[in-house]
Amino acid sequence: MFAVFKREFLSYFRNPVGWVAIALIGVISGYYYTKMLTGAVSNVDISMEINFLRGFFIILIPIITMRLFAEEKRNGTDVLLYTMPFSMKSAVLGKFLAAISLQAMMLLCVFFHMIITIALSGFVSPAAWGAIFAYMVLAALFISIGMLTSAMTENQIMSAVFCFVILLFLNLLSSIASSLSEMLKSFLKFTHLFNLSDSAIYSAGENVRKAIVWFDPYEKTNCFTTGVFKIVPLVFCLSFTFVFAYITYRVLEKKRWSQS
Amino acid sequence: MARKTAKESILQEKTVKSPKVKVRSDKRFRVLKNASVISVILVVAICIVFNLIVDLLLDKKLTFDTTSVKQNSITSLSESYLKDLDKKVEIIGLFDKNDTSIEWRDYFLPILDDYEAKADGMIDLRYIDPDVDPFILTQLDPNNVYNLQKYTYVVKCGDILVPVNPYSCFEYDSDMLYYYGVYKPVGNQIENTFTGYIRYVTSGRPLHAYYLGGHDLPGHSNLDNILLSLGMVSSEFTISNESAKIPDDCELLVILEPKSDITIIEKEVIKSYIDNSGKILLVNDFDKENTQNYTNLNDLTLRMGVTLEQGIIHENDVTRLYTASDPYTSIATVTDSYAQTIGLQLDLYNANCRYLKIASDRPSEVYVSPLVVTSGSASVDFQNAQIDASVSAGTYPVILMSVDATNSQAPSCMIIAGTSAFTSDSYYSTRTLSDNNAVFVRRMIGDICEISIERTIPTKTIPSYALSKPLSSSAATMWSIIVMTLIPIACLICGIYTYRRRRHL
Repeated sequence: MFAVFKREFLSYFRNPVGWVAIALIGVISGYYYTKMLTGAVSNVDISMEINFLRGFFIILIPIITMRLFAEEKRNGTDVLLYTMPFSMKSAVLGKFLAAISLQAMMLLCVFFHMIITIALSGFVSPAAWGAIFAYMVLAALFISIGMLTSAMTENQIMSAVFCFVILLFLNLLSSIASSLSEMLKSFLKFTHLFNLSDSAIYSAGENVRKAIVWFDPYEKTNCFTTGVFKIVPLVFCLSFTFVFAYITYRVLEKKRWSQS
Repeated sequence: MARKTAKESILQEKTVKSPKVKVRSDKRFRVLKNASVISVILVVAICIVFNLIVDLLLDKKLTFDTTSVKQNSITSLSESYLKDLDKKVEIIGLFDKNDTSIEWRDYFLPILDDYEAKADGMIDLRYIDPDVDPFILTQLDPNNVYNLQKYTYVVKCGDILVPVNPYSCFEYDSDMLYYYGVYKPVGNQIENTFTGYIRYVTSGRPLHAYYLGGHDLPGHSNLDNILLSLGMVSSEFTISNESAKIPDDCELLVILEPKSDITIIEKEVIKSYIDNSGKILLVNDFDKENTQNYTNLNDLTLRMGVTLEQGIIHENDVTRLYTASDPYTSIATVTDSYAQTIGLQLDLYNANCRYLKIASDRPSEVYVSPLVVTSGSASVDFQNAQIDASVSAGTYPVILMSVDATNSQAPSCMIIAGTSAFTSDSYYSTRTLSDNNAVFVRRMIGDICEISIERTIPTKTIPSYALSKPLSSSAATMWSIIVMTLIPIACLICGIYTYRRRRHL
C-alpha cells in the first residue's frame, strides 16, 4: 500500500497537476483572506475562509481524482495493478491516501494565513480548527466519489465530468430538496390526492425535504464553522467514504476478473 | 483410415467438451458478479441504517460546543427551567433555515437546537418560511395583533405568543456604529431572551411592562433584556385621550428619559394608575441642552413626594470620580438599608444625575427613601447659576423610591432615577448586561414587582476577529501581495519547471 501511496503522491508533483491545484487554492484562499484583511475593520475569521473554500471542491476534486485510475488505463499500466503481489484494497487505499494528502497540502496556504493572523495580533478561534477538520472529512468523501468515477471510466475527462456532476448535485441537494418538496405540496394540493389537510400536505412536503437533505454532506458539516463540533456528521462522511472506496474496490476486482 | 486413433478420439472429445467448460466459466463470472453487486447493496444499506441509528440516538449527545463562552449551548439555569416545563412550547423560526444569507442565522440555529435537545420533547422547534407557506402567519396570529414578519422567531404556548426580533438579541458596539455605521455585535443575549420568553409564555402570571410612548422615547433594548430576564415582556403604548387607560396587565410603567413634558391627559391617566396601586419607573436625567421645566411630570412626582429640580449633581470627592476632569460622572453607592433589603452592596456608575428633591409637604402616607446616593461631599450645580440656599454639600440621592401606603394591601410605588446610566442602551453597549448597574436595576425592579430573583443568564461575549493592532494600508497591501500573488506564482513556477524537466519522460 505504501508503495502505491508513494508512487501516486509523488506523481502529483512530477507533473504540473499538483502544483497547479495548490496554486489555484492559493489564489482563491488568498483572495478571500486579503478581502478580510483589507476590509474596513480587518475582521479575519479563518473558519469563514474554510467555508468559502468548500465551494471549490467541485472544481478541485475532479482535477485531483480524474487521473487516479483512468490514467493507468490510458497508459496501459492498469495491468500492473491487477497483477502486482498486493490486494486491490491496498491499491485503492494507497491512491486514496495520496489524494487526501495532496488535499492536506493545499491547506498549507490556510495554515500560513493562520500564522499571519496570529502574527498580526488577530484571533484564531477553535471553530477554525473544527472547520478544517470538517473540510478534510468532506474532502475524503468527495475524493472517494472521484476515485469511483475514475475507476468506472477509461477517460480522464469523462471521469472529471462525472465527478463534477455528482459533486454539483450534492452541492445543490438542499435546493433540489426544497424544489421537490414544493412540487409535492403543489401536486397534493392540486390533485386533492388522499384528501389531505393543508397542514398534512405541508408536513408531507417537509418530510420529503428533510429526507433528501439528510444525505447532504454540506448541510451536515455547516455547523463546524460556528464552533459546534458534532461527531455524527463525521461518522456520516467517513462511513460513506468507506462505501465509495468499497465500490471502487469491487469495480476494480470486476475488471481484474475480466482481464483474467 | 476411417478408424480414429486414440489421440484423435481424445482431441475430438475435448472439442466437444470445450463449450461446457465455457459455460462453467460464465456461470462463475455471473456468481462473482452477483456476489459483488449484492455485497455493494448490503454495504450501502448497512451504512444508511447505521447512520440513521447513530443520527437518531447519538446526534445530540455527541455534539460539543467548542466556543469559549459556550455560545451554542444553554446554561444550567435554562436547563433547569426546561426540566420544570409542564407545558409544550413552540419556537417557530419564520424563515428558511437553509438561507445562508441571513447574517444572524448561525448564532441562533445551534443554541435553539440545544434548547430542543435538552427539553425532553417539551420544546418543538420548527422553521417555516412565510414565502413558502403564507398561511403560517395567519395561523399563528389570526387577528394580526403582533404584525408577525418574515425573519423573526415566535415563542408560543397555547394562546400566548411572543414575537422575537433577532436583532434585539444582541448588544452592539456603539463606537463601531458611530464611526463606521456598522452594527457590530459584541454580546449575545439569545439565551436570556429565549429563556425569558419561555418563562413568560408558560407562567400562569404573564408579566408585562409598558413604556410610555412619545416624548422621543430612546432605544431600550437593554432594559428590555433586563426585564425579560425577570420573565417580563415589554411594549410601548401611548395615551392620546382622556378615556385611555393603562392596560390592566401592566406590572410596571416605564417613563424613560422624556425629552418633553408629559401632557395633562397623560398626567391624569398615570395619576389614576398610581391611585390603583400602580408601579412606575421614571428615569429623568439632567441635560444641559434641555431647559424643559417638566411641570406636569413634576406634578406627578410631587404626588409621590419628590420634585425634579433643574440642577445637576456635582461630585466633589475626587476618589469617587471616574475621570478627574469630569465632576458629573462619578461612582454612587447603594444605601446601607437598601443593600440589606436586596442583599447587594455595589459601586454604581452615575452620570449627569438630576437633582431629586424630597418634598417636605408630601402626603403623610407617602414614604420616600433613597436607594442609591452620592458621596457625602457632593453638591448641586443649578442651571443658569441659580442658587438655592437650602442646598449645601452633602449626600444626594441618585435613585429614590417613593411608596404610597394609602392602600396598605397593595401600595403604589414609584422609582425615580436622576440618571440614565441604569437604563440607556449607549451605556450598556460598552459594558454589557453583566455590569453592576444592570445587576442592580434588575434587583430593584424584581423587588418592587415582587418577582423572585434568580441568577441571571450572563451575556455571552462574541469573540472579535478584528486585529487588535490596526493594519496600515501599506502593510495590508504587502500581505495581500504575499498571500495572493507570491505563493501561487511560486507554485506555478515549480509546476512549469517540473513540466519542462519531465515532459520527455
